[in-house]
Amino acid sequence: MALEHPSFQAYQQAFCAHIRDPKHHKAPAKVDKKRMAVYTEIVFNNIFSSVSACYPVLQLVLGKRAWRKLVRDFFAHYPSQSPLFRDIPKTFFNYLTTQPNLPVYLTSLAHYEWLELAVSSMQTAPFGGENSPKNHDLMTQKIVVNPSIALVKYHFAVHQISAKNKPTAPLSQPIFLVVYRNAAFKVQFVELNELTAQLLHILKDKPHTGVEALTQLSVNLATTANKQDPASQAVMESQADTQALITFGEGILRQLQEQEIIA
Amino acid sequence: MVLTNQTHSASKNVALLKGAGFGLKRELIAPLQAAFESDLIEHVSFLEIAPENWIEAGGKQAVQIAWLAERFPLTCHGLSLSLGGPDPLNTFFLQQVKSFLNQHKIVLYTEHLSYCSDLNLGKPSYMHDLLPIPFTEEAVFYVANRIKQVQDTLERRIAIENTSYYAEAPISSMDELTFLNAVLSEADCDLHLDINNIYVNSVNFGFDPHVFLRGVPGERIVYAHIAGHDREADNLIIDTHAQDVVPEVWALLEEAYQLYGVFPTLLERDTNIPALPILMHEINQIAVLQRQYQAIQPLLASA
Repeated sequence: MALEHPSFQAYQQAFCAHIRDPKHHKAPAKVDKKRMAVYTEIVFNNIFSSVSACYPVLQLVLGKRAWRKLVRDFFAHYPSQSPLFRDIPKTFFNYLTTQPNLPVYLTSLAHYEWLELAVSSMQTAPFGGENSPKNHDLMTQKIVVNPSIALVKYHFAVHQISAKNKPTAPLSQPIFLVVYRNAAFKVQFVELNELTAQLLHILKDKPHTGVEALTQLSVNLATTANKQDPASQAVMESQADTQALITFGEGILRQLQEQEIIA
Repeated sequence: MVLTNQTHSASKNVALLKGAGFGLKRELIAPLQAAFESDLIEHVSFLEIAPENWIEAGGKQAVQIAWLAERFPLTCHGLSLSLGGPDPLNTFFLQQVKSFLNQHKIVLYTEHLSYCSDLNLGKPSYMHDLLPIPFTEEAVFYVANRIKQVQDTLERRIAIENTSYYAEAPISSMDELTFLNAVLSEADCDLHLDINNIYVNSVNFGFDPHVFLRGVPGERIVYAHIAGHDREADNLIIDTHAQDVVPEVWALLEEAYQLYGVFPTLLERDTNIPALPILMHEINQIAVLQRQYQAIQPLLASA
């Protein structure tokens, strides 16, 4: 057995276990207490500041003590399997999703805060500026979607949560957000109505011209309406609706283009 | 996998590495870009990055790394390989490092003689900080085998850095220098000599840094670090890289050049980072010392 678990490794395990959770795991025997304390302090502080930097609102909502306790529990009990420092906040988010006692709105808030980091560092093809087509007719030519976008839906107004504004119940209608990098690499958050969110999903799925995407959107809407109310006139009216949607949708597409969400 | 007796010659690029450089922190990128090709950075011959901060980089970072790699020789100083860790070597990560080194034509890859991960609830888990390996004979062979595995996978030699630490393991059966030399020799790898770490550990554990310096295998030195630190007490230094380099460390660097000849030397500054023109004072000081000893026959010449 000695070969499988050399004594130096048993020492290392005890050393690390103490750093992770000094209250419940004794330091290895005969280690200088003061020097051991240097490690318990600097290692946790390093993790604590990496996590805290990504979740400024979440920590305010929780309060200092609860926040510190949560990060300590994460460090003590949740395996951190990525060697990349950038992934620490994501690992922390994964940990949060395993916490049954955490209010759901806090997990939504954490996801929203993490998304900024995720989008800013997402590996994507170049987009915007010189990399985007110029004088592009959005209605008749294939639309390119900013490859850094994340389309998300929350059941809480995550962008309005603060220590003084904690939601007590989910929203009656979810909110839709698009998060993306602009050409200057700044992360932007834009709230969308549901129709625009659906349109962006269609465009993101595969290349469409504006007319194709809006036609598809119209079909999707008719199908949904039909399912909800099979007796409705949705199918018969759909041709007229499609034309109206295309006219209306052109303005939306222009706006998305100006915001650097599509090109 | 071939693990034994495979030798790797130093990459041709390593021979091209010379002079002084600094560890590239995010806040220094814009000033560096503004100062590119100006006299301000005339003594910056290369830059060092931590691969863990740049692997899988997207967005602005992806553009920055491409800009840097086109204009400067780059070295990589790793933080997360955990050569002495009790969990299995992360071979997926090692392949990522390999692709990264090749993609950006990194001239040198060095890692710490330490570990940064454990088995947390049975799963490999990163501590994200450098921890001291107990200096035992078992550990020598364990770490040396992992270094060999890394060199075989990367198909290049790597250099191992003597690491600063704060707590001695009571189970150690040898001192730091003996451990370091045994690992280097057993793994047949290069030495990344951290001058500041010699000094930090000499204060933290009460030994003579000059004796330590004279005891390292000079023929294996390919690269050096100097840095500042925070003095917590008479007998405790925390290796923060947050201050200017102290005179004792400058003196040790000069002595190292005297003993072993000049090698590429990097200034580490990780926090409390001054403006680029201020940082250049220390870079220029490295360059002055290097010029002074360039033409002088080293006292402990290995040729």
